[in-house]
Amino acid sequence: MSLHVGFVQLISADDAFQAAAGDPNTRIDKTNGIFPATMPQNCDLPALVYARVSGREFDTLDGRGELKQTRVQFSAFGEHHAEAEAAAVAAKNAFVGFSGTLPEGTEVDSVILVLDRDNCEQVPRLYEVSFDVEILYRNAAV
Amino acid sequence: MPNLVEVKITGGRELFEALEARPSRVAKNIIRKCLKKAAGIWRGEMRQTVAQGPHVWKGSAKTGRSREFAFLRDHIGMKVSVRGDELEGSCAVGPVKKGFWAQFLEFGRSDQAAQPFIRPAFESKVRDVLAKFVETAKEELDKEFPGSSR
Repeated sequence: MSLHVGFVQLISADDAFQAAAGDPNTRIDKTNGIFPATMPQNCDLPALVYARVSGREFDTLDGRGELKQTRVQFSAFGEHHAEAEAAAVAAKNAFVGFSGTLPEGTEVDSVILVLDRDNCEQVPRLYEVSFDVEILYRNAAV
Repeated sequence: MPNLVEVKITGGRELFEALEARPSRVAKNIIRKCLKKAAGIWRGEMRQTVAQGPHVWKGSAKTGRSREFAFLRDHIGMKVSVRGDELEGSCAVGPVKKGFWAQFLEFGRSDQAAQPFIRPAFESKVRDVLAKFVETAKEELDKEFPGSSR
């Protein structure tokens, strides 16, 4: 299992996120509204897209260390700004500041917000609220 | 403490004191050179990692369309500014305004996955940039005032 599986489970189970973006029972596309890299065509809005921006590992004197750092971008898209904002804020509240073990077993040391931005696409007219987080974590033992 | 990641940068105060003791014009020139050389590492990294491909310029009815390969790679700009009243400067590095589509590569769109190159370059080279800044400052101080950086 990997980190992204864990944070997708965490965010999709959050009540505020479900209220903003729906869940597989209420969405027409029957998804949890969270997608890697890019949104599928004609998916329900709002939707949350995540993508890894960069990452590194920390070496120790014994070799490859367990601690890893990664920067992940989350972008919430919606037909209205308020819709995108609500999904982004819910995801942010669910994940930023998290410390502990994710549902799939990854140990997260810290999740820090490092960038926050708004954007608007003209064709098709979509609002985007995105934020970057820096995550320090250790993979779940296999 | 295995959970602790610590980055310690020392020598900043000493460098500031060394620069403050020099004539203002010389100190500013040193800062400008340091910033330019150090931030050049980020520019080099961005040039290497940006997605490259042909860009089609619209042109006029007379000239027609034209193609240019790797426009973004060749148009990563750098602007150094040193404040007049203090020993403080900044350097902006990134694609020039004409290459506006760099933002779509960097952050993606609803129908396009992000291909970031600015943020990874910044994060992967931040230590090299700091080291280069210090190294250049020492070199420049030695050049202007031999033996002063020791």
